[in-house]
Amino acid sequence: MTTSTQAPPRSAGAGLWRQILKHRWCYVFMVPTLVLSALFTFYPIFMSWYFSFLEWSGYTNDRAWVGLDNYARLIQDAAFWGAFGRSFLFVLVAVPIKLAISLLLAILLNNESMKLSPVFRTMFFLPVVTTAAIVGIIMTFVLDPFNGPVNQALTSSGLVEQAIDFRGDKDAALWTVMGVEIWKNMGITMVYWLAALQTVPTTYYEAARIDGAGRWHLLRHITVPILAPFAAIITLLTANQTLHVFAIVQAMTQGGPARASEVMEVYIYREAFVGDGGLPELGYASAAGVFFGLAVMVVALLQIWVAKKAHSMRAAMGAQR
Amino acid sequence: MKRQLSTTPLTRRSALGLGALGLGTLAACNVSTETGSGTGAENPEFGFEGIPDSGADLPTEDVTIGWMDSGDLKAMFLEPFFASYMDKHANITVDYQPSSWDTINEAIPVAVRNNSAPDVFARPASMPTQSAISEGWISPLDDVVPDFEEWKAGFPEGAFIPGVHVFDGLTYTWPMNSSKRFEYLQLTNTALLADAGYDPAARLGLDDLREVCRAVTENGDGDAYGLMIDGTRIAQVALMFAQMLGHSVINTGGFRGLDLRTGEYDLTAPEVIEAFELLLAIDADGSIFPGYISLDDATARSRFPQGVAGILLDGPWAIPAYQRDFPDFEFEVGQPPSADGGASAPYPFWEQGANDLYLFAGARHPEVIGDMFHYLGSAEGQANIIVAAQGNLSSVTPSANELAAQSTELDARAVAAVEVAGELMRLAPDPRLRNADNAEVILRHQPPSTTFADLGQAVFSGQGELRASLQQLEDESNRALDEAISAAQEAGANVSREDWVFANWDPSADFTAEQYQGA
Repeated sequence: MTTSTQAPPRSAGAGLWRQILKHRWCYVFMVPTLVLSALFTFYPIFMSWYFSFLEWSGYTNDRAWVGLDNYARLIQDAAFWGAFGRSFLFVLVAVPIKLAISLLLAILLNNESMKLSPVFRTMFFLPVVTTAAIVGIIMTFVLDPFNGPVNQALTSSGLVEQAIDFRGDKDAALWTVMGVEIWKNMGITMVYWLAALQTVPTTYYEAARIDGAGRWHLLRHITVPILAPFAAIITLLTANQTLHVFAIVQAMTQGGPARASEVMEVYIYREAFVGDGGLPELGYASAAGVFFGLAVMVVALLQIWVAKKAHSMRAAMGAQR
Repeated sequence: MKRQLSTTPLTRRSALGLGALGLGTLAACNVSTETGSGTGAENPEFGFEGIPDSGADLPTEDVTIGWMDSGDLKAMFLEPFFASYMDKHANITVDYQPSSWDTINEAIPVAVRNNSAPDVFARPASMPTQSAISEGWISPLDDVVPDFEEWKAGFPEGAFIPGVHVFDGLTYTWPMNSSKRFEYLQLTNTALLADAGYDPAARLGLDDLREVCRAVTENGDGDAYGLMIDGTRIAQVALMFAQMLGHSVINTGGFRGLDLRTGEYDLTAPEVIEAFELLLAIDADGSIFPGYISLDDATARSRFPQGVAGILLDGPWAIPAYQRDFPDFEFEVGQPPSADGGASAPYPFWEQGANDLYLFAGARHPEVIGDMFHYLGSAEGQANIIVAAQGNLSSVTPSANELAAQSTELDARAVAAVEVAGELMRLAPDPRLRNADNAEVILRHQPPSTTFADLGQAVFSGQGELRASLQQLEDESNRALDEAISAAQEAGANVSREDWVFANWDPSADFTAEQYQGA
């Protein structure tokens, strides 16, 4: 006669609880981060959603629930759509340029035979750690049409007859700020690429060189395919960082002339705090922030979906070979 | 409440004496730049050394009083006043924080919420007084200033305006200085104009201005330009030129372009178009300092004394700053260009006081603030304020101006600025003095989202066609005033657009208390 010694089935909840108990120290160590995130990330996010349904200046206790009125007003606000468009234009133009130039730099500076590469890395990364407001102010002097070095070089070389008002020209202001932002933050994207390049085993290059591969072949058949999975996340990180250009725009143009370089963050600041001679509108500004945040989230999700799709297609093609 | 303000004509000696509230009759402002223009005949003593007792029940223990305002001209008189006050009251320390408006706008709301605000503060720009009261930020002064009614009676009738100083019968602030300060003085670089062959002290006509700017620019050969201006104020300057051409409208805050004879905004008048076109022509000549569109007023002001431009149109606050920071900079102070270089058209303004300060509701020693305000608001205190500011400020109290005019400590340029104000500025009718309920309208007034600064930058950077831009702002401004009136009516105020119509207003003269009856 045989007897079964099978244990009674455990509930999933009990299993989870046991897992938590087993790894309780991990959770204990996570508490400070969770508390700080709750206080300084999640709470402000939830409150901005709540504020977006209020008619509220931000200064008084006089708050009125207006439902979706702020959003309805937002959709009809030409200044909002102008800023919205400029922010996305900023991303669409600045991100590919930053990705391309920083990748090129990363590949060059990843070369171990280049003895001065740490110095150059530092040089390219230095603007990243310099305060954006300071960079903005310095650039106003550099680009000054009266006696700025850039205009002096342009006029003395005969490239232009008259000094260019980079910050005051309606057609140049946004591109000028964009150029400065690309220069300032390219270093961080370069570091991302450098980190990705560290994952490429040197043995691959050595083997390829023995087989007679030149630089172009190494890049095309080894570097790029291995870096491809990293590209999506680096693009996402760079795009996210490029959406946060308030300090540089505010320091250089304040969104002017006549809002020609006003991006979303500057628009939100203007509505929330400046008030243009009337009362500021924190509720309305929150609605603008929430709306823009959702738009950015949609773009990010779309980007991730496209990256996954491309990855699975490549995997399928690899399996067919 | 009726307004009864002095309108006695000026003599040169008494220009400061009545400058804040009177009419000037000076033909030109060719002033000596030597310090001290008072005659000193009576030779009265000035200074804060003898602050009298107000009868306030002051603390005997050690206390610290916090005070935050925007500094500049105020610091010129507050710093010596606090020094004397602390000498007199050894147990009282004043922590004076002259700060930028950005700091005030950001710090005060947070400090009030934390109950750590300074005892006295300047009101953040975006916080209407009425909201500050309803939110419990500030306390009335009625029970704080000793002998309050007597103290208040020392000011001219009409100095305390409903919706500005007085709310529901309680007084929350007071006019520390007069708002009769002309914001568009012509500050002229003496050397640059002389080198270009022009008299730096001569009054220009608007047609001359273009020629002068062109000559200074040509003479400067890339190192100096005719006109220094900034993108944030260029439209305001254009409107001021229109006023000099005879277009009598308000040029203040959200009411720029309001014609109080009709109660309508008028930004499309021929004078306005002509003024903008003149500035556009000067710009087309290349006579405006390069990059002006992206300058703000502070930057333009700071670059002017470096010898890069011939003319700047700015307020009297620039004068002491230049004399302090650029002692070798030679400049003249005068009237802006008129239509033909001759007599000026009037510049309407609302006398609502300047540099208003507020008592924090959480102040631990309001009696000390009451004691200070009691003295600073007296005729003697006001006169000492003017003298300490070297004449760069004036008072709403005529006797204080008269007393200060006897000082030998006044700066000639400051006196010239006061003379310009006396010559040009005329009291405009104030809807709040006709009907106090209009304070509710101003509280609810939300100016168009396109600001005057936006308009100027758009027109001068080629983003907007001049007439269409002006028409759009005019329409939006009229709509904004209608909406504010409707909102005030919904809140129970008995107001209408008719309150803003003063058919009997003659812009060339001060609007008197009697005229409110016939308006």
